[in-house]
Amino acid sequence: MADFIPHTDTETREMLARIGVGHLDDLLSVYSQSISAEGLSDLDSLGSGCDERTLLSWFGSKAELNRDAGKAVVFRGAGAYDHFIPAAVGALIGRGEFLTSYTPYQPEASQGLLQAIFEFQTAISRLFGMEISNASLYDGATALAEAVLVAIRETDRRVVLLSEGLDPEVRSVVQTYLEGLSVRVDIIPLTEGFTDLPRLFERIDTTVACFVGVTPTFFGTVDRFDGLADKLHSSGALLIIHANPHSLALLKSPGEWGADLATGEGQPLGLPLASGGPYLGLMTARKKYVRRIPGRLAGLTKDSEGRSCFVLTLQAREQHIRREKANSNICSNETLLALSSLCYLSLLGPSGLREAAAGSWSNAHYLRDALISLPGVTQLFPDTEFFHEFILTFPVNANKVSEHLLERGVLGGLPLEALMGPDWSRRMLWCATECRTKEEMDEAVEQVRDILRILS
Amino acid sequence: MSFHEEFLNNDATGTTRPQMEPTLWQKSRPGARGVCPPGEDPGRFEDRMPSELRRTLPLGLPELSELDVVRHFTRLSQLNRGVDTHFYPLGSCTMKYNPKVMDRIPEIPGFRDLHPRMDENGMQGLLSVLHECEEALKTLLGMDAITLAPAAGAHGELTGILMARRYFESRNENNRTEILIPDSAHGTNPASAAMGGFTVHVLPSGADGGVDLDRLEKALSNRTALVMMTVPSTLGIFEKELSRMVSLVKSAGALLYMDGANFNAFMGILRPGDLGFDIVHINTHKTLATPHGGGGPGAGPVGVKAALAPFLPAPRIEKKGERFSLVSPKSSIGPIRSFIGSAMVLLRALGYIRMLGGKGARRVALYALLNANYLRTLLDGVLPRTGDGLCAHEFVLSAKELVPDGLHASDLAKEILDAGYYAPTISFPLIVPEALMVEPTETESKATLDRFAEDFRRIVDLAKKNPERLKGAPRLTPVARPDEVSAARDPVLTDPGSFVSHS
Repeated sequence: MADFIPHTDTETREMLARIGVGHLDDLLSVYSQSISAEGLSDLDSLGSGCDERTLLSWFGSKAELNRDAGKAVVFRGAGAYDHFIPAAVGALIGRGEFLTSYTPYQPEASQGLLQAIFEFQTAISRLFGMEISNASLYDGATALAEAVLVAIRETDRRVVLLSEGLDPEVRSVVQTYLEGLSVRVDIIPLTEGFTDLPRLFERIDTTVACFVGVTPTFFGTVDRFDGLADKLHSSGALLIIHANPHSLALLKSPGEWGADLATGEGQPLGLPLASGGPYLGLMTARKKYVRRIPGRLAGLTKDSEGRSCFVLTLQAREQHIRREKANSNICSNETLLALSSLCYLSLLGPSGLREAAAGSWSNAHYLRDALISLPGVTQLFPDTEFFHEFILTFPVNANKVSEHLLERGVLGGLPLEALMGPDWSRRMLWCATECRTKEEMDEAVEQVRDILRILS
Repeated sequence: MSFHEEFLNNDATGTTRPQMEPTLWQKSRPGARGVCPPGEDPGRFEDRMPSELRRTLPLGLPELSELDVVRHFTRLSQLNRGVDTHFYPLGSCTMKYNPKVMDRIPEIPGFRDLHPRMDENGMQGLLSVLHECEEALKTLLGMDAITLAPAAGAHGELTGILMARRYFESRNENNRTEILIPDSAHGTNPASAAMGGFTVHVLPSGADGGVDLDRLEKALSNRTALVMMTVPSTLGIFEKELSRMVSLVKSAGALLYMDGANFNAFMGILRPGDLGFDIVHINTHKTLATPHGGGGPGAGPVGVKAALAPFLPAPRIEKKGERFSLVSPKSSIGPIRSFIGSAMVLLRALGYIRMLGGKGARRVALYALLNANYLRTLLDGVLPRTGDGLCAHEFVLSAKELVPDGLHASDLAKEILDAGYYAPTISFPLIVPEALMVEPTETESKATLDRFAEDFRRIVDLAKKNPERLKGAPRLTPVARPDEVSAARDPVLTDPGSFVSHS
C-alpha cells in the first residue's frame, strides 16, 4: 500500500502529543455524532492497495483491450481528431511548476502561468480573427453553450437559432445547459450542406437572441455567412460561430464573417484523442462583450515598481465575487490544455499550421476521390466545398463496414445511424488529417473495396 | 537562521528580482521555423478553394525555433510555483502531492490514442476502467449511482441541480424553485443554482459559523428544491447538528446536496450517502490527488441516490455480463459535455484509489486531520481562529486585528510568498473578515509544518511591530504587487505585438 504520507511513527506521536490527543482516531471526535461504531466495512472492496508496478501493469492490461490509433489507423473525426503533436508539447506541460499549480490567485508567485494564459488568449484571438479570448472553458460544446448564454443575457431574449450543421451531441449539450431557463431553440436546416441564408434571413426578428453558425459543419462542408452579421445586428441579435480551429489556418475566420462571439473545440491544437478528455473549450469575442463573457481572463498591467506583469482581471464577473449574479458558475477550467495548445501553436508557427491544415485538406480530398471510385459508393453534398471530413453513402449498412474495418486495423468513418436516425444507416462521416500517409489511405480503400465485396 | 529571517533582518528594501520573460511575440523572428509537421504547401488549397471562403487575415502567430519555444516555456515554468516546488497551504483547494506514477497512465497508448467515438467493441478496456471508477466512488460516497461526466466541481453542481429539477418535474412538484445555500458556501453553489434556473436563498451562519437551525427551519418551505451544504464547512467545521438538519430538510420534502470539495477530510470515515445526502459531487483534483494544472483540468463526479439515478447525464456506462456499452436513457437530463468524461483525469483518480486501497483512503483522511490540527496548534494565539477545539482538514484565521495598522490578510500572504511558500487562501470564506484559510494536506511533513509555523509567527510579529515593512512585500518574487485596478479599468487581454506579425 502507498498513501504518500511522509510521517514517521515518532513524528506522528509527537504531533498527536502536541495537539493533546492520544491516538489518531481521537481526531475523529470532530465527527463524533455521525460516526457509526462498526465503521465502514465495505471499504475492503477497494482492495488493500498496491505498488507502482502493479498499478501500471493493471492499467496496461486494460488498455490492451482498446483499439487505439496504433492498432487501428484513424479515419474518424466527428469532433476529435488525430493530428500531429510535437514531442516538445508533452515535455513542457509536464513540468511540475505548471502541472501541480493552482489557479493563479497570487500573481507574484504565478507570473509564468499568467503570462502563458495571456499568450494563449492572444494566439486564440488571432486565430479566430477576434479581439479577445478567455483562459478556456471545459470543452467546445460547453463553450458554445456559455456563448449562447452570453447572447441571451446581452439581448434579454429567449429564442436561439442553431444551425443544423452543429454536431448533434454538441446541440444536445447546449439544450441541457438551457434546460432551466425557458429558452426556445429552433434548428435552421442546411441545404446541400450549407446554410440557406435567404431562408434564415426571413426567420430573424426582434425575438431572436442569436444564430449559431458552424464551420466546417458536422458534415464536413464549409459554410458561408455573407451578410449575416449585418442582418442579425439590424434586429439586435448576435452572430456566434462555432469553428474548428485547425481549419482556421486556411478558412475564413469567425472575425472575418463578423461574428460577435466565436467558440471551438481546442483538441485539434496539440491535444491527444485521450479517450474523450480533458479537452479544451475555446471562447473568443468582440471586445465590447468583455464584461459579459465567462471564465478567467489574464490581463497586462504594471507592478508597483513599474514593471510589466500579468494578473487575473475583471474578476467581478466571476462566481467567487458575484455568486448567483455571476456570468457563469465556472471555476476550474482547462488551463493545462490551453498551455498545450499554446505550445503547439508556437512550435508550428504560422507556416507550420497552414501546412498541417493544407495536408488535412489535401489528404481528405485524395481519400474522397479514391473511395467514391468504389462501386456503389457516393458522396453526400458532392458539389459543396469540404475541409477534411465528408459523408459517403455505401451500398450496405455502415455499422457493418465499420465493424469489418476495425477488425482489419482501420478505424473507418463514423457510421451516422446512431446520431442521425435510420435514414442514415448507410452513411459514414470520413476524415483524413495531415497525419495519414498515402500508403495508409490506399490500404484503407482496398480494405473497404474488399469488405463491400463480402457484404454485398 | 532561515533565509527569510536573514532577509528580514537585513534592512535593505531593494532586492534583485528574477528576470521576467519576453512574450512569444517579442521573441518572434520573421521567417523562423519550429517543428515541421506533416503536411504540404497550401498552394493547391488556394487554387481550389473559392477565395470568398479563404482566410485573408494574417494568422498573427509568433515565429520561433523549437529551442526558442522550449526555453520560453521552461523559463515561464520557473516563474511559477507548484506543489512540486513549494508548500501550498491554499485552503479549500487541497494542494496535496500529485503522485508521479499517475502521470504515466495518460501516456499509455491504449488510453491516450483512443478515439472517443470508437465503436463499442474497440473501447471495452476504457469502459471497464471507468465502470470500476464509478464502483469505487459508489463505495466511498455511499451513493447508488455515479456520473463521471462533469468536467469540474462546479460542472458537477450544475449537473446535480439540473437532475433535481427533473426529479421534481417527474413528481409534479414544479413549485420547488428555491435553493437554500449557507453564506459560507463556495461561490460556485449560488452561481450553479442560478444557471439551473433556480432562485437562491442565502442562509446566514450562526454564531459558531455553522448553519443556524432556526433560520433553516424558517427558510424551508414547499418551494424549497434543494439545500446545498459543504461538509465540513469552508470554515473546516463539521456541523454538530447535521442529523437534525437532514431530518428538517427531508420533512420539508426537499433534497439535500453535498458540495464535496472537502471530502478529503472524511474519505473512508463517513459517507455522504449514510449521512442522508441525496446528491454529492467531489473534486478529483482535491480529494483524489489529480494535478490541477494551473486552473484545470479537474473532474467533478456526482453521486446520487436511486431516486435520482434515472436523470443522470447521458451517456451512461452499462454493464451486461462482461460487456460494457454506452446508453442514453430517455429520462436523462442529456449530455452536459462532449463524449464520456475527462477520462485521463478519472484514470489518475482511480489509480490513486487503487494504490491506497480501502485502508489507505482512511489513513489519508486521518492524516489530513492530524496535519491541520498540528499546524492549528502551532499557530494557537498568533491570530484568532473561527471555531474552537479540534478542526477538520483546514482552519480559518482572521487578520482583522491588523486592520487599524493599515494591513490586510493579503499583506500577510505576500510576506508568506517571500518566506518561500505559496499563500493560504485569503478573503474566503466571506463571512470571516480578513480570512486566511490554511489547509496543509496529509502529504506535508512535520518539518515543513514546523518551519511554516515558525515563519508565519514571525511574519505576524513583524506585522504588529513594523506594518510598513509588509506593505512592500513581496520582495523576492519576479514582480511586485500588480496594479489590479488599472488592469480592470482598460483591460489589455492580448499582446499588442501580435498585430505586426509578418504572416
